[in-house]
Amino acid sequence: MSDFGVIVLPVMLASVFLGLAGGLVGSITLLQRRSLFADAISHAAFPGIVLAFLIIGKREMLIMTLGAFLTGVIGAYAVSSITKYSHIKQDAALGIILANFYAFGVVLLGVAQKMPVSFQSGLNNYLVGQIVAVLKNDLWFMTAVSLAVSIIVFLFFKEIQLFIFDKYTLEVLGFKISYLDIGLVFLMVLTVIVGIYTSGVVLVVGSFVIPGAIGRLWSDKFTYMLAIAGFVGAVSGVVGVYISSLAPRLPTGPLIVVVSGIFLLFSLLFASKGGIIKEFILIKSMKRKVTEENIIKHLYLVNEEQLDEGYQQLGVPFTYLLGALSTTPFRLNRSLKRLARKGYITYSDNKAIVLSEKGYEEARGIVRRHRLWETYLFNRLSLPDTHLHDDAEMVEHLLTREDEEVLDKILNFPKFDPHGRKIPREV
Amino acid sequence: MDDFFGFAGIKKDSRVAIEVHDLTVSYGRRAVLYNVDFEIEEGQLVAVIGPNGAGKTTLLKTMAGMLKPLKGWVKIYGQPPHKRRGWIGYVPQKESVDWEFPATVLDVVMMGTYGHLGWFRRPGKRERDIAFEALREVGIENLADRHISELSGGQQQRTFIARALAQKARVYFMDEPFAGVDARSEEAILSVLDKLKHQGKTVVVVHHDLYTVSKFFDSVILLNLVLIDYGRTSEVMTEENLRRTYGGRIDLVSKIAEIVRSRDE
Repeated sequence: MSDFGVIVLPVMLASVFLGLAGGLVGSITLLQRRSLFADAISHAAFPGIVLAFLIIGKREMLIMTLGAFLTGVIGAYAVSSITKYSHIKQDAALGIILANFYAFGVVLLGVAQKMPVSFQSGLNNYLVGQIVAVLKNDLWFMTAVSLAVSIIVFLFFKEIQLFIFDKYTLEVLGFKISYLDIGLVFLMVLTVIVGIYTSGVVLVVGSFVIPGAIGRLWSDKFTYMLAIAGFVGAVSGVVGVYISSLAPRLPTGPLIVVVSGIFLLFSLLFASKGGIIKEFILIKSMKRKVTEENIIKHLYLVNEEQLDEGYQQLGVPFTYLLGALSTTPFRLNRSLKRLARKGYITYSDNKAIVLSEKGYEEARGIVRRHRLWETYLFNRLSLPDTHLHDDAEMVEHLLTREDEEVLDKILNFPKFDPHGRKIPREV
Repeated sequence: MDDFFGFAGIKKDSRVAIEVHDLTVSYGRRAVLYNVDFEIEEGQLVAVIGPNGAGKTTLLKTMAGMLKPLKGWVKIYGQPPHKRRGWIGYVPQKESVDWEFPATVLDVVMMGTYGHLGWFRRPGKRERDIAFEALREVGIENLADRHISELSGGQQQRTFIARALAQKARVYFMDEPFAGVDARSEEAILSVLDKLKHQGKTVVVVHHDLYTVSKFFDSVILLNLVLIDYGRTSEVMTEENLRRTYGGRIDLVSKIAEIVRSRDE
C-alpha cells in the first residue's frame, strides 16, 4: 500500500495530466498546422537539457527545463528567421533546425557520458522517455505544469478557438492577438518539454498530435475535439505507463505512442468524420447508383423512339445490357436484382428486362439531366459538340432536381440538345 | 466597456461615422495606398470598387484598425479604430479562413459576441439568442448545427455576415461579401445591408458588380492606389471615372506602382 502511495500514484497522476495537457495542446497544434514546428522545438530543446545538466552537474528538473526552454525557443526563432529572411522554405528550415539541434544534443550527451557512471546515469532516458526514472518531486512538478496548461486552455477556450479560426476578427473584436500568439507558443513549448521526460525527444510531439487527430476524426466541434483528445491522451498515457511498469526495461514513450496509434488506427477506420470505412461505403454506394442509373437509362434509350411514337415498350435481353455496360455478368445480375427490388424494372415472359412506370420516369429524369447538361456546356461554355458526352455521362448522376430546374430556367427550357435529340419532359 | 453605445463621444449634429485623412499604407517596402482622404456620413451604404491590387482590402483593414498606416489617420466617430473596438464589425474575405475548422454555423456566429464578453467569459443563453437572431436575419437559422464545411459559398458568406450582425456594431466593413454567392444569398445579403442602413448603421462594402453598386449603394469609393473619386453613386459612377479606375496606366502614381509591383514579383 505504501508502495502504491509513494511511487505508483505520482507516476499515474503525472501521466494522466500530461496526457490531458498533451491532447489539448496537440489539438491546437494540429489545427494551427504546426505539428512539424512542435517537433523541431522538441528536438531543439534536447541540447538545452544536456547543457543544463553539464553546467549544474546534477539532474535538477527545474534547471533542465529552463535550459530546454532556452534552446527550444532559440530553435523556434531560428526556424522563423530562416523562413523569413532567406530563400529556404519552411519545411527545409524545420528539417535543418531539427537535425542540427538534435545532433548537437547527442554530441553533448557523448561528452556527458565520459563522466562517472553514477553521475550521468539516466540522461539517455530523455531520448525515448522513461517515466519510472523520473524522481518523485519531479513527477509532482510535471503534474503541476500539465494541470496549469490544461486550466489555461480551459479558461481561454473561446479566445483560442477564434484565434485559430480567424485571428484578425479576434483582433477587430478588441482582443490583443499578440498576447495569444506568444501565449500559445509558450504553452506548446512548455508542454513539449515536460512531455520529453515521459515520451522522449523524438516521440513527444507524436504523443500529443495523435490524440488531437483522433479528436478531430470523431468531432466537428472544437469543444468535443478538445475533450476527446484530452481523454485519449490521458488514457494512452496511463496505459503506456502501466505496460512499461510491467517490464522495467520498456521505455514509456514508444508505448504511449503505440497505444494512441492503435486508437488512431481504429478511428481512421471507423470514425464519424472522415473515417476510411465510411468514405469507402459512400464511394461504393455512389458506384452502385451510377451502375443502376446507367442500366435504366439504357433500357430507356433502346425504347425511346418506340415509346415516343406510342408503341409498346420492348424488353431488353440480359446479354444486350452486358455488352452495352461493360460490366461482369455477376455485377449486372446483382444490380438488376436491386433494381427489381426497388420496383424500377420487371421481367417479361421471355426473361427480357422491362422498365416499370416508376423506372421509366426515373430514366427520363436521367436522360433529361444528361441532355440539359450537354446543352448548357454547348450554349454557355461554348464547348464543341464532340466534347459534351463524356462530361454529361458523369454529371447526369450528380445533378439534383433543383440543379435541373435551375439549368432548365437558365437555358430557357430548350426542346432539343446540341445533337438534335429531344429533351424529355414531364407531361 | 464604459460608453458601450458610444453616445458620450458624439455631439448631436456630428454625423460623420468614418473619417480617413491623408492615408498612406504599405506592406513592407511596397506602398499600396497613397494619400487617401474621405469622410463617410452615418447611415450610408458605401461601395468600394477598383481593380485587383487597388488596395481595397488594405483600405478596409486599415479602417478596421488591423493595419497601421504609414502616414495619415482613420477616425471612427472621432476616435482611432483601436479605441472603437466594440463599434466595428468586420467581414473578412471568405478565403481568409480554413472552413475545415471544427465548428458549426452557430459556433461561428457566436464568435461575434466575444467582443462584448471580453476575456474569459463564456457565451451563454443571451449570446445564443443573439446568434440565432442574426442567423434569422440572413435566413439560415435552419443550418445552425451544420458543420461549416458543408455550406455552399453563399451560405458561408451569410454565416460571416450573421457573425458581424451578432457583434452589434455601428460601422461595418465587408470584404467581398458577394463573391461566389448564388442569387438567393445575394438577395438575402442585400436585404441585410438595407436593414442595417435603415437602423442608422454605416456599411462599407468591397464589391465588384457595378450593376448592383449603381442600384443599391448610396455612395461609391473608386480606388486604384489613390482615391480616384468619392461621392454619391449617381454622380461619380461616370464612364470617365470608371476608365480612370480600371484603365490602369493613367497617371504617374499607378505607373510607379506598376514598376514596383513587377520588381517585387
